[in-house]
Amino acid sequence: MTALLADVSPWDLLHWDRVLTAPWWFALLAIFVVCFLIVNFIAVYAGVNTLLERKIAAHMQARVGPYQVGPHGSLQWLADALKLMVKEDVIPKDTDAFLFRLAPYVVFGGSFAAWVALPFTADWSPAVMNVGILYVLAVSSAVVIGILMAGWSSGSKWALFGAMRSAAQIVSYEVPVGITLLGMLLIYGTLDMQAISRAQETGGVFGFAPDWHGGIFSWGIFRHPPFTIFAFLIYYTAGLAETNRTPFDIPEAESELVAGYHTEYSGMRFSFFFLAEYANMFVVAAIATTFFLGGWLPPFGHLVGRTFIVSPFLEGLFWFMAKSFSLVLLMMWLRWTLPRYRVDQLMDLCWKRLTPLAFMTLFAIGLGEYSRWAGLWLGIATGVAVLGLIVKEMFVPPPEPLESVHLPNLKAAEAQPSGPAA
Amino acid sequence: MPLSELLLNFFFYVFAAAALGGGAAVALSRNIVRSAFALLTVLFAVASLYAFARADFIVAAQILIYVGGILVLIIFAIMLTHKITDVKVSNESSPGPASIVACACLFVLLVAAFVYGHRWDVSPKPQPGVFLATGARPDVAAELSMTQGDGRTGISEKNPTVLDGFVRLQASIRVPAAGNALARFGVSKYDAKEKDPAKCWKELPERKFSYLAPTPQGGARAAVDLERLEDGPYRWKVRLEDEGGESPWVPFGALGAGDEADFVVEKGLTRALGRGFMGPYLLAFETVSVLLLAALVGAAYLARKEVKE
Repeated sequence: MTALLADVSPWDLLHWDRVLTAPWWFALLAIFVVCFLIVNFIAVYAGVNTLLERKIAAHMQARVGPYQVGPHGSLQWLADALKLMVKEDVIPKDTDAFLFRLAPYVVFGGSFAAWVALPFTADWSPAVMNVGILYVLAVSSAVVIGILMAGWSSGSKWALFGAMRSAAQIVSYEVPVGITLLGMLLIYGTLDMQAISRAQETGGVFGFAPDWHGGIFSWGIFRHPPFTIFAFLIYYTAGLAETNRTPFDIPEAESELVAGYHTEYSGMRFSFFFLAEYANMFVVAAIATTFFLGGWLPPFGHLVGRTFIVSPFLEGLFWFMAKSFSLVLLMMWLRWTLPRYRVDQLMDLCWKRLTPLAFMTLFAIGLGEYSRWAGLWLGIATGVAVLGLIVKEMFVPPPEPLESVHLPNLKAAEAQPSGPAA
Repeated sequence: MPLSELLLNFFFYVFAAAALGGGAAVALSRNIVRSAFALLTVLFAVASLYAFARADFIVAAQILIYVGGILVLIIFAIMLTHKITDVKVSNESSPGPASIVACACLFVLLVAAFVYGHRWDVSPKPQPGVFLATGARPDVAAELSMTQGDGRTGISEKNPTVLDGFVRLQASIRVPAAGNALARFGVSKYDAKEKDPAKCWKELPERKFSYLAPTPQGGARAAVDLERLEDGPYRWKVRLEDEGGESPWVPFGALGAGDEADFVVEKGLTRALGRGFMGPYLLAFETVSVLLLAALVGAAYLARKEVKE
């Protein structure tokens, strides 16, 4: 045993490239350790986030929120988790029992599998993958199948409607997500999420000064302003829709569908859907962080003179988590600020607004990568136009509706005999 | 025994069995919705079989397109049709004997293609390269080789010392390596602006190293990839830390072309596929997309027939 252990160090447990050449028992142990860490991180993070979400909601609505368990209700999430675990697992009579049991695992598996490719810290992610982002987008699509499975097998019209809405929504919003990320991939030239993070360590606006350590100004969001900023907003909005969060939560709209595709679920199976939703929120935030906000890079590396001060592993982890959790927090903030969209408004936003805008950013970033001067002038022109629109919206009052235009029409309508009643 | 020999074999058979089992479930299930969901198993299992062929890009594309797109479409279509639970399993319009003959012919054709077609030779080929005695231990002669990453091996055809794409530098020895033996690779680039001939080779600042991994032949091998190299002459060397010794500087391209498709596929697949689809196979690629049009027309025809009944 000691001879076996001499070949490997505990640190290797976290390094996939070492694991490949390690003895098989060590490889199994390493896979187990990484998966154990991620699953438990998701569970605790989702638990704490439910409490956070309720507290934020309460404070935004001038309430106090959960207050009974622990100081200021801070242990409420543990009580909730315990309740969900010991609750009866109800399987209604009209379900397709096999698919009904399977669906929560498919949904959770899809969102969990995406986590292993995320670039958590400097030069470390659970699995080394050179098609990183493509893999994340691919395995996330299992979530749609799981939701359809849950909705159909429940044998309930609310669940089926919720599932159909959710699937239609996710499939539609994958279009702007894919196109904006494609535009950013033109800048980085790689699908590897670690390489994408590292590529934002140096670089300047529109591809000028490629060796410049600009800190926050070398991040993806400032590479081709204002198009990369648009791309970030489009990606974040569409990502919000992909996770079925408010204002895009029509698949689980309480006032219409009880609870959507998980109406018939209870206990632990329900909590798997719950975990998957929070896991997905983090994945969306993490992709936004990696592509637009520099991944694990600190924002002011250029001021200190070097990227990391003490420990690249710990500092990288801190910055990645700080950025991702800020974006998750923003999702909660939006949830308690915006009202829910209608189905037609949702599709209108996706296909008529976000998708054309996403194509525009793709074109503009492509032009900027082809010729930096062309990108610069297009960027300035678009920036001036957008600023002008904003100023016009803010300072120029909208024209008053002219009564003289409407009145003759009204009178003409009244004068005409209208149908069988007249 | 390393992971690649035991665990990977085990999982290969698990996924192969899942693909076959899922396929059987698709064909034999009496509930058409369950058939559609069983397709999920098949698609994921086939994707993981691609992973064993080191085709990362194909794995992701397979899941993204077939699971995220086509399977969702199939399930939507099924849910929009009526009578989904009591579908007749066999298709009456096709005569039994003819379909058996057709299936038998197809099977024989597949077997023939497998046996007489491409040689599925997975044994490592002898690597042409240069042996360089590394000093401290005369029995440890490092064999240096390099492969280029866009589907071909060797260096740019126009100028044998100018590089395009990326390269994999590899050093292998014929004896087992010690526990954590490191191979450090150094790369230097020729600076044409430098007047002083003693300083014209500038060593690249980034340190590339790799551990010596055991090979099936009982030796050990280490490799690093160099990407985003600018055009220009380069040379490289390797230092084997625990084995001792260091090779002299070797110019890129001086080693001869090695035929190592194995390593090219691993890293350069995305690039090679992109060049293939947009280059020599563009017409074939576009022609295949007619298949989707045919499927769409067929689906529309079937849906209309259903309404008429």
